[in-house]
Amino acid sequence: MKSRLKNIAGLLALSLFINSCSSDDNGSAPADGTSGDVELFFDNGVAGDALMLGNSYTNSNGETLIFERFTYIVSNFVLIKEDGSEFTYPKNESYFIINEETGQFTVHLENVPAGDYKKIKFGIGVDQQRYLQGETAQQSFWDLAFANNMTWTWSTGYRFINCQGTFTVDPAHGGDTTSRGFMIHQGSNTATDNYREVVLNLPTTARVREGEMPNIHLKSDANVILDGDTKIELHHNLNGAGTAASIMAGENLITIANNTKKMFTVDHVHNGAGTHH
Amino acid sequence: MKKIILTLAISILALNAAQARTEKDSIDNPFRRYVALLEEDCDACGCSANGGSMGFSSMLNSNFVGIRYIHQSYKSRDGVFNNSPWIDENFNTAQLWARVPITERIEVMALVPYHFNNREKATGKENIDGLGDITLMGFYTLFGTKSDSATVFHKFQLGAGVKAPTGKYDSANNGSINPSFQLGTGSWDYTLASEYTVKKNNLGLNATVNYVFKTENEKNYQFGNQFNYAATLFYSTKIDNLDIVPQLGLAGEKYDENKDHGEDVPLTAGDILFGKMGVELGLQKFSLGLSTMLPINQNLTGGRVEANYRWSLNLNYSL
Repeated sequence: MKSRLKNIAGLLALSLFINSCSSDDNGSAPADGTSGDVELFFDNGVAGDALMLGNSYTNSNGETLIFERFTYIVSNFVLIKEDGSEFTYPKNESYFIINEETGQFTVHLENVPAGDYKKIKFGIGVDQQRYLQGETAQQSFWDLAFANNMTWTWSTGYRFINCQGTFTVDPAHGGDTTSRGFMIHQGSNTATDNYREVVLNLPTTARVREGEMPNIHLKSDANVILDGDTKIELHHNLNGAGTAASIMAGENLITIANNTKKMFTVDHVHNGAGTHH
Repeated sequence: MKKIILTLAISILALNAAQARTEKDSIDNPFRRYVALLEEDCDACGCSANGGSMGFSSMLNSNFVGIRYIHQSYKSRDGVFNNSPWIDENFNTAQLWARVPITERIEVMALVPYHFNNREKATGKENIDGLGDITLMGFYTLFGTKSDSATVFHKFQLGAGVKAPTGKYDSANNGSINPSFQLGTGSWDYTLASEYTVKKNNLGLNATVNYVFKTENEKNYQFGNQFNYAATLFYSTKIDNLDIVPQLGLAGEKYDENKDHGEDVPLTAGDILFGKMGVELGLQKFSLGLSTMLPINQNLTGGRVEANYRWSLNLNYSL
């Protein structure tokens, strides 16, 4: 028995030795003055399922939606380190469109200072400051937004979210099963600024290095627009003829602005070279 | 004696090389060069967390050289959503394996795997083929029944070994759904093992536990340490000259979280328990083994990976 104990002790000693062999080197520290790229991938979903245009999704309001369009503007990207220090991406370059119809899901940031980033911050839509710079200052993004159905007229500005499709209402929720069109055009207007910013923790560090690009894989949840903290029922927003629902103004936009603060989560961060999700 | 010296020399060289590498990457690693010579092209394979509890012994002959084919079927979620599609992943391994006695109490074991893995993603079929991570282990018999004529026979062995990163590790894979779809861990890993066999008349029990310490690889990725255990009941019988040993048992694996640049990678810890069944047939010096493993309970990679089954077939020549 004694000799067996001795052997067990020996094993423990060996295991300690082996553990001490493991490397403490956690990779290269960022070199001062160098920079790299960051890619964000927006994976569109509905309440945990993948969003597919043409598929139907039933929400807790008893309404079943088929999305035909889901497009949004994300902007003003800021990368935040553990110590709270921030890198703000150059404002003029910091407006992007994610479009399910055209398959545009990535935001590519260049010349980001090398570093270990723990959080990201970005806006949904276009802030008033940028908008008030006028049309010529942002012509190229305006043109891009126009091409993606993300504009009204210049005087009424950008659409922050453009979500369209058809819906039916469960009779138990006071509806009939007729399929009607819906249109949700989120934006700011003269009455309210509906631009919102979100700050998201990264589950693991995004390591930006020269030649090493983190890919931040986000999930967006289109369900929260109507079925978030505050509910919006489409069938309470029908037009006079009762043929379609459109949400483009008023109190609903403030509700959507607040609901969509919970639209994004970071699923994972992939470090290294190349683009992988 | 020569054999012992050679084995010791290789082990020490390997351990030193591993240490040297972690201390300073630029130091030329003599063992790696040696491995490179062996396989000509370092672009080899041999992963990973897989097949850990399959064991490395035969109930029929304790010392042998042989070849073993292992097929492991997994399904893995290709996407981040609840309704993302499941894809099939097939891990196939052809393995040279040997357990060779050096002295009465000491034996060495070697596993040289060649993997050919594939999976069918929405974007197309992916294949990875190549040499896997080579494992070398030494076993020491702490106590055991010497005489073959005793009605109760038992044996307890302790082992330690090293797994060399001879299999290719591709970091492009580490953000995707099954981080173990690799040919190798890319790291020097160390194993402690123990094995106990007891046999009375025709009925026997084989129990093994082993623990694999995994280290950080060159891409700063570290697979989680792994605890494997298995218990197998076996029964020896004979028809004419043919030895028949049916087997029934349980095998389990428990994984710690993987680390990327020293940080835990969420949802990479896990565990799995298999039921296993097999038979070994022996005729003179040759034996044929067939074994299957079916999961009883599992929680791998946050539920994003599921093991379907494993089976293996081996042909051994007893020494």
